[in-house]
Amino acid sequence: MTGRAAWSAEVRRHFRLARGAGEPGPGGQRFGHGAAGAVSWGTQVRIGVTLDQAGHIVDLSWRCYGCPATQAACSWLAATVPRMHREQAAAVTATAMAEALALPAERLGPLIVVEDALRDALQSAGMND
Amino acid sequence: MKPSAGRRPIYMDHAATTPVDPLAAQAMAGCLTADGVFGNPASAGHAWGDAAAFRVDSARRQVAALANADPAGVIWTSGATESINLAVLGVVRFAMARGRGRHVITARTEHSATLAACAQLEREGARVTYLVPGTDGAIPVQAVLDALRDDTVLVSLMHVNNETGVLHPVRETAAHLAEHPAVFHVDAAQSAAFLSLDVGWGVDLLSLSSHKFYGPKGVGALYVRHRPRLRLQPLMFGGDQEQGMRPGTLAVHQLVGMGEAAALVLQRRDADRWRLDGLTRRLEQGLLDLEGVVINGRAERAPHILNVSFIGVHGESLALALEGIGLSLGSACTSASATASHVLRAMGVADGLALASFRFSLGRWTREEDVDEVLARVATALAEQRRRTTVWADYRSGTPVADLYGTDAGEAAG
Ligand SMILES: Cc1ncc(COP(=O)(O)O)c(C=O)c1O
Repeated sequence: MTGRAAWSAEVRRHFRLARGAGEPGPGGQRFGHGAAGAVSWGTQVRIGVTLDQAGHIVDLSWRCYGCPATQAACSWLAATVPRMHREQAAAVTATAMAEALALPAERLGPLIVVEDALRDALQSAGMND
Repeated sequence: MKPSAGRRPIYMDHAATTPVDPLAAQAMAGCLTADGVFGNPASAGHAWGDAAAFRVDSARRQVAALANADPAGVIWTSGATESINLAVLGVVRFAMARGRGRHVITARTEHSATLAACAQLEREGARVTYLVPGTDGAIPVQAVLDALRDDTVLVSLMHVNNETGVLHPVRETAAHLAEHPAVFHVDAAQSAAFLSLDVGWGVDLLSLSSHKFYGPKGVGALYVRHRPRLRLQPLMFGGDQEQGMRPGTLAVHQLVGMGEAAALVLQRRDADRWRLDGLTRRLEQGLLDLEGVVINGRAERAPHILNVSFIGVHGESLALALEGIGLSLGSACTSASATASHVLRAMGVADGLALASFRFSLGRWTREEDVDEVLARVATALAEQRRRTTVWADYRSGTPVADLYGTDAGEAAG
C-alpha cells in the first residue's frame, strides 16, 4: 500500500470520535434532511439536522460514504454546529472545515460535498417552518 | 504506516515483500567485509575472486533448483521487474530484428512490469493480445491457444496473480505450446515460495524475485532455456558477465542471500504451503461469516493470498480503521481521486467494490492467533464503519449491489 495519506491529528481524532454518526433522525416538524454526492464520485453524504423553535440547531447526525477526511468533517460539524442559528450554520464552508481539520487543499473536494449536504439539510428544515 | 498504540502490529502483506530469513541475512553478512567473501567473482586467478565465484556458483545452483533448472541458464538481475523486462523485450526485439514475428500474448491481469514492457514493444511495432480473465480471475488455457498466430513470438503469463492469488495452469499451457515456436515466459514472482515448478514442463523463461521468498530486495533471476539455447537481446551493454546478457559486477552478498533463501524454500515448500493454505482458509471463512464480503478471485488460488471486497464501506476509511495491520488496499490513495486496480477491473469488479478491496497475504511467521486477531479487528472496524455509511444503510434496506455501485446510485438514494 503505497503513499497512504498521513492524516492530521484532528482528522484522526474526529475519525475516532465520529460524533453524530448513524441514522439521521426521525424526521418531523423541525427536522431537515440533506444529501449530496454519489458513490461513483467517491463521496456521498447525508445529513440530518434538528432545530428548536427559534431556529437554533439542536442536533446534527450523518451518514457518509467517504474517506477519513469526509468522516472527520461530518463529525466536526456534529460537534460544531449545535447551538448555532440556522443562518450561521449555513455559512460554514468546506474551507473552514479544512482549516479546522488541518487538511491540505486536495482534500477540499469531499468537504464541498459535506458543505452541500449541510446546506441542503438546513434548507429542507427551513421549508418546514 | 505506524501501528496504532497499544495494538500489536500484524504484518499480512507478504505478497508485497517478506522479511529476510535470518539464515539468509547471516550468509549475506559473510560477503561484505574484509574478513568475509568480498572479492569480485570476475577476478579469476586469485583467492578472493575465486572464493566469490564459488559462492556465486552455489547460489546459482540453489536458485536453479527451485525450478529444476540447469544452473547455466540462470541470469542474475535486480529483481523480477528486470527479469520480466529482459525476457519480454529481449525475446521480441531479437525476433523482430530478424523478421521472425512480432506478436505477443499476455493478459490484462499481469504485473505492471509485463504490461509496461508490452506497451513499450507496441511502440516499437509489436502487436500484443491482452487476454481477459473470467470473473473468477482465471485465464483459460483455451483462450491462450485461440490467440496464437503464426507470427506469435512470445506468450508471457504469471503463475500466481499478485493481487488475487489466482493460479495459472503453467504445465498445461506449456504442454499445448510445445508444438508452436512461440517462447513461453512465466512470471513466478509470487509462486516460487509455495508451488513446485519445473522448467522441464516447457517453460522457456522464468522470472523470480528474491524478496518474495525471504531473500533480500534488489535481486532476482531470469532463467533462460539453455538447451537448445534461447537467444535474447540484452537490455544493457558492458562486460561479459552473465554471458553478456546482464553485464556488471555481480552483487555477491545479494545473490548469496537469494540462494540461501531458495535453499530454505526447497526444504520447507510443501510444509509452508499446507500450513498457509489452512490459515488462509480460516481467514476466508471468518471473513465470509461477516455479512457483505465478496471474494475477488474465486478460481484456484495460491495458499498465501486472499483478496476481498467489503460492501458498504469506503476503502480508505476502513484502511485507517484497520491501522496496525499490514494490508494492501486495492487502490492507490495518495490523492482524493483513487483509482481501482487494473486486475479487479479486468475481472469486471465494479470500481466502488474494487476501491473497497483488501489483499491479505500470509507468510512464514503468520500464526493462527494472528489470523484470529485480524478477524476480530476487521469485524469491529467493519461494523463501526458500516454504522456510519450511506451505502451500507442502502444495502440493508434492499438496494442491490449492482445499483449501489452504479453511476447514479448516489443521487437516487439522496
Ligand atoms: C507477480 C509479480 N511480478 C513481478 C513483481 C516485481 O518484482 P520485483 O519487486 O522483484 O521487481 C512482483 C512484485 O511486486 C510481482 O508480484
